[in-house]
Amino acid sequence: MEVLHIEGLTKRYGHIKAIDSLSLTVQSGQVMGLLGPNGSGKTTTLGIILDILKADAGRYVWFEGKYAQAEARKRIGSILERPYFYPHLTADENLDIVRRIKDLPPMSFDEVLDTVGLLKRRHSPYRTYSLGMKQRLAVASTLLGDPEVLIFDEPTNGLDPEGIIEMREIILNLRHRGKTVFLASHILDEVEKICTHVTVLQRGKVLASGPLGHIITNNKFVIVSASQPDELQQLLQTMEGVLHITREGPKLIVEVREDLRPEAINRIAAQNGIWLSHLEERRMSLEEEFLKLVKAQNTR
Amino acid sequence: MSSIGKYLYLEWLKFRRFRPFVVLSIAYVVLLPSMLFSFHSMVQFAKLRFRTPEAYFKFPHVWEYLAYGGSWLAFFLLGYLGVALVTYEFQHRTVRQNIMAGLSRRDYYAAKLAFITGYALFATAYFLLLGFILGMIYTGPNEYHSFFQEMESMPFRYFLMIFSYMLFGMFIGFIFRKSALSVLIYFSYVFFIEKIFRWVVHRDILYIQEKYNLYYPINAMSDLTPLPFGHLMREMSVPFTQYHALSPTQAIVTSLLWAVLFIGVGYYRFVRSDL
Repeated sequence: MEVLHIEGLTKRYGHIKAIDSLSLTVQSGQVMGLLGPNGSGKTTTLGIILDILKADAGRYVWFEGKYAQAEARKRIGSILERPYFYPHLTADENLDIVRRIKDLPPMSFDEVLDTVGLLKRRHSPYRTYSLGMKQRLAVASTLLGDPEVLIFDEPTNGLDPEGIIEMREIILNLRHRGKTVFLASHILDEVEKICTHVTVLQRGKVLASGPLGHIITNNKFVIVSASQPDELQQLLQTMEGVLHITREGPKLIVEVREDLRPEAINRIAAQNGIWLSHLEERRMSLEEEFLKLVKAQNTR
Repeated sequence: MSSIGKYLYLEWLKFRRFRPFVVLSIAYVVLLPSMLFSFHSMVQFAKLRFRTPEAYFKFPHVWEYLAYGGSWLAFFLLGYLGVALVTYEFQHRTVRQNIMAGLSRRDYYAAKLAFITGYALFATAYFLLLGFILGMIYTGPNEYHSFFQEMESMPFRYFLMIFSYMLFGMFIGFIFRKSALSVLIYFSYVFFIEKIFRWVVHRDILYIQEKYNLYYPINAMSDLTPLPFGHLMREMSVPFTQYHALSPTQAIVTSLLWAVLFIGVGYYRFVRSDL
């Protein structure tokens, strides 16, 4: 089933187009990552489909139009930007408000508060919580009623390492249970670890969209330099597993297959009498990934 | 539960322990009788002679004096509460949370209106109870028949007065959203901006010559439960001087029209803009 269908969505802030005729589709069971640098329109997109922001043009349809917009949102657990709760109310009271809005039957919040580790502080007012606790409560509220669809906006932002791991586990668990997740992130690594599908945004436009493996290559890079760069380049070009070489000053940036290990390069260079002065393994940064996508877009 | 009942209860859960709500409500309950007793002390202190001693505590005039006191509380306390009930949700972005969780913007807005309607009903019930108790205590048994005399449409006017001030506060909140700014604009408007408008437009701050001068929102709201000036002058044996105010019916119609405008414009802004 098509959980979400977005068509031609445009949102302007003055002269700036935050998103520009954006279209995409999320199918049931997908974990769709909305990937892009800050200001690429991720939060704006999520804001519009949650009726927090008003689009200037375009439309979106939830659940193939089976429910009215507000009814559809009752079936979605969502976090946008940061947690929003009543500061003077406790965790239980805040969750109860969300529960009532969602028309869920009366329930105990023990389990969901336990999942996010807030059981001990459940009777303290929200304003006394640390940022991490506030985010945990937000996660708890998205899980209320076990919704079919979840929306997370930069879910690991501001969390400590432990929190980041827990958050990823929660989302992976949702993925394994067949939930549909729509997640915005500027962290490529995060998207790679969690998502099944990805949509890449740049300046409010969709650059690419599809299954993760089709969009983001898993190739890694080895950066090498030696006193005879030309010979080294010639040598590496014939090597099994080397995909592409670019020259940047004295350095060679070698795009290699996942299974090619840097010591193999070191060995073959040494065997041919070239001594490396620099050897570094690296993943593509998001910026490089973008450059690659932009180049691909332009040459298409 | 009907949906409006559900949303009303939701607002109650949100605000029952919200400090401004608690403090201002207690202040209203305590100050409403205190206003009348302070007036009483003033009269005694100034040694003013009333033809009917303590007429303001007795039927039928207790309603008018008490309602006039109530209009000051609505002006200072409850209008401000109207502002706070809206701007608090914008400040902490809980309005976003409510919408994201599945409330439609229309229902969110309706819940707010339902809440101030309910609040105004309670405030009116308290006013009626208090007026009844004071009247029973101070009015001689053979004058009980005057209970409803001159009460006219007082319960409705009192309710509409409270509702209108709260609605106006809410309207300002929905338009300006920021807490401090909205409070500033609310008080600036009720204190002097309207008077400046009236001066600029009509050059007639005392409303002597021009009747249109009286139809501005705050003036209409305050004319719903005006100072019983004529009665006061008669009681103090002062020759009656003309006092310019809207008649009760005029005040009701004018206030209702303003209420429709405030509800409409506030709604239009709320459903169309980013939150």
